[in-house]
Amino acid sequence: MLMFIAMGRAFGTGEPVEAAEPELPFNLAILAAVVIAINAVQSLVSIISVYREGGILKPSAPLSLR
Amino acid sequence: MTILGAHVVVKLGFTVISLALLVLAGRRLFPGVMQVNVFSFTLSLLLSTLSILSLGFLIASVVPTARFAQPIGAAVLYPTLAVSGLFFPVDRLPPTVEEVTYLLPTTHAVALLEGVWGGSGWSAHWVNVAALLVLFAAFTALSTKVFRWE
Repeated sequence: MLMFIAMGRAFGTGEPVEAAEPELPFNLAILAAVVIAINAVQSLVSIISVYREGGILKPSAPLSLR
Repeated sequence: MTILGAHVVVKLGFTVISLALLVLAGRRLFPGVMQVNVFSFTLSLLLSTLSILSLGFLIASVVPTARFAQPIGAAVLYPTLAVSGLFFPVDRLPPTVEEVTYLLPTTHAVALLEGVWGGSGWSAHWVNVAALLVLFAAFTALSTKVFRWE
């Protein structure tokens, strides 16, 4: 998003343009929010898998999840 | 459990930060468009994330290796978004698929977020809130059953 804004500032004409009314058949803000949530989950899935495979959590295994 | 809990807290924190940046950018670029109660929307997103995280725990518990965790996670999670009711009403799906979608946290998350975004209170979506909590409990319980240390 920051790259998008920076590139817009760098390559834009600087002239304000009247934005067209978005005609998306879904709520873009909700999509963005849910994608943020899913990305967080995806990241956690990867971390837990790496931990399980690498044995980082093994020392605490008897104390956890049971 | 402490390590996993810390990761969950960090993920929830990053979710709030990402949402805050999104809201700030939205208000800066499109002033006056966003009339949503940000606090209520953030709470609903946190509840949704927590419920989806429990599904993530389950995926991480059954995926055999870290190499496959990312693609399998994506293969499971993103289709749940596609059938969540965000892009088209859930009742347009085949009856069997429609029933399955109600067992997915993303369906209730989208319904709750759309409701809060539209201005209706949490009480109007208590079914979705309850479903998110029940799914969180169910997926967490299931993942503790199937979780094995490699």
